[in-house]
Amino acid sequence: MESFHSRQSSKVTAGILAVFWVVVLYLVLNETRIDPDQQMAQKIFYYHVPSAWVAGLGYLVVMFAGVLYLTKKDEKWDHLGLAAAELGTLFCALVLITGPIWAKPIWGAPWSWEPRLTTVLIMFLIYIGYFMVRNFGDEGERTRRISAVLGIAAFFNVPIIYVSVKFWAADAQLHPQPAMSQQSPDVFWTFMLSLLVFTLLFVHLLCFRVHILKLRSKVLGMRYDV
Amino acid sequence: MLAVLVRKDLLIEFRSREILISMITFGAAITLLYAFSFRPSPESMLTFAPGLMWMVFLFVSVLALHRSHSLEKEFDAFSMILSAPVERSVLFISKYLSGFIFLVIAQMVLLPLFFLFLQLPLPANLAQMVAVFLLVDLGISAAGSLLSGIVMRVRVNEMLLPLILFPMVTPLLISAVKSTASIMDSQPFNQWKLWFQLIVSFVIVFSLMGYLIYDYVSEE
Amino acid sequence: MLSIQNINKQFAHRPVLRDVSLEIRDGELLGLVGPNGSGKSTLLRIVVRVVSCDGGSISWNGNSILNAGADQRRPLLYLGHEPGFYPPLSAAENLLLIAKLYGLEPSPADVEKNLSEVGLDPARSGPIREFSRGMLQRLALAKTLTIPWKLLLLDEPTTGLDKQGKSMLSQLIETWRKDDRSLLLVSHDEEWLSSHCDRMVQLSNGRIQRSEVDGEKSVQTELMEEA
Repeated sequence: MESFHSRQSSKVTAGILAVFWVVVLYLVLNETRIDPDQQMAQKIFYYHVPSAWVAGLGYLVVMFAGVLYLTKKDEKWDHLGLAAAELGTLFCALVLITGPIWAKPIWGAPWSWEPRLTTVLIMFLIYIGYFMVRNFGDEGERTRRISAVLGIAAFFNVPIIYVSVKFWAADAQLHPQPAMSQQSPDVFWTFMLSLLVFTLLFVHLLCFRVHILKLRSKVLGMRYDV
Repeated sequence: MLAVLVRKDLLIEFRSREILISMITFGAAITLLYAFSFRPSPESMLTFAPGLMWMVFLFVSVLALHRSHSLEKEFDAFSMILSAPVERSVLFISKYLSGFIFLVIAQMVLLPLFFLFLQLPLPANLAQMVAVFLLVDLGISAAGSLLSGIVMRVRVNEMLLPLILFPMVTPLLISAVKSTASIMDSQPFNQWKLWFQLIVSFVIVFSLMGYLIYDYVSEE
Repeated sequence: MLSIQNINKQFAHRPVLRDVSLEIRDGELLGLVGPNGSGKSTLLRIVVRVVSCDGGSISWNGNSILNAGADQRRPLLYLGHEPGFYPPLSAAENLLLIAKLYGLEPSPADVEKNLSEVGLDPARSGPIREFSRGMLQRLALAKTLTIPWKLLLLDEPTTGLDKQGKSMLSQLIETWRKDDRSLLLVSHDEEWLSSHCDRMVQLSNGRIQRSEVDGEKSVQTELMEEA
């Protein structure tokens, strides 16, 4: 099995990512307008929102991978589900970090029970549980099965979580609600580019992680080959 | 078949009384702790009471779920049930219903204690309160039965179950607390209809999920 | 007839069963032997869907057991390594419960008769938590008298049984043989098994190593030895 990084596709993707990451950074710092109220703090939006998007994407992939694993029983779907769960949770953590970084200068407090952030926090906690199940279960088929079920259950719970939190803290509707279509071109296109870069980063990391999990599975299987 | 399985759980509990006694004593202990820890005025206690109440019921549900599965594992009765010609979805429903019944019985004892120790006034609309409580209990039981089935054969499942269950039932908990607070505040149904709808949604989603996918989590 | 085809099972990447295939004809008593950890108990538990398998198929009289509803398991009765009862219930209550799970409604008299036949006191109404291992094994055997099974899967049936209990079990096996019912018996006691079974199969390291019919080796084993 060849190394992931020696593949042509990996090299191209990594190259594109590196270039566009720098491009986005340049655009964010130099070309996008400075918000009159929030000043530089607003610029975290170009990283915070794409992180949330990727976290949601990750959990969507976990759900589909879970369904496919339960129906097809092929280990590759479990690899995909686990990799997506890890990345989804990583980006969840980024959302939970960048949110308070922005909130502190703007709201005066790093945390308020704002619905979207709270939903992300609850999903983060659910997935901590997911990883603990994977950690304490054996490496076998049952752990893969129950992880698939957990991923599916977690995903279908998200809309209920979001609605409940939204109306629970109706007074904490402080989260900015920018309508992207109404933004100036510099903001819009930089945001879209950042979204694309984050999505590409997710896909690249997902492929890399699935590759490692496949290798790991192969090595573990080799221990018992007669 | 469903009646056989539920009757079995009730008979076992009638004999051993392990689940209900532990639920009631633990619930009463937490209620007492609340009474000692918070001594606000009766008016401000009304603000906290719904949240405290539902936390007690969540905690005692976890106890019940653990005990229920321990009984299945003790002489490996669970394998006997799995090997018998019993549909796994029916097995889920039986666990769901048994858990619901135990929670309702425990609440019948714990609620009066809660109102007594925390000096709370009785709500004007008891019928609404009963309806909400029954629905929320269904929700806790549905999610709990599915998730405890998931973790029952995993190490340190006593710790894992609350870790997974509590975030999952957050929307149910929020809706339960909001509904209960509205009822205790004598608000008209229209004002808290959304929370009721969320409770119903949660019950439907988790009941369906458990019914459809319990088969996948029951086998070793 | 039970047909097991290419069953594979891994626990944490460790292969426990590798391409295991075997058949049990109607009225056949098949013994499954092998060292500890060879996968014997796991195979039995896969047949009755207590444990999932990673691949393969199992059918009873041509109907799949693994991908079908619970009704396909009705002709099968599994007595595992562990007793498989509810400790707070009495012996009679446990038997009645199992009968009901199989869709039966035995009378209290029938239940008492079955308990007496295995040497248990039907008047004893205390929880089986108080039973010894041998008594629990007798109660497990009482299940075989309560359920009208066609294929019985027995895992280490002599565990905890005294000399009398083993003799009772031997008599039961002879009765089942006369009734033309099938048995799949698992034990590490090869001598005991070979005295009761029509055919023996050895499982080692997750694979079928040897299949003997009344002392004669099967074609499969001969081919393996040639290779």
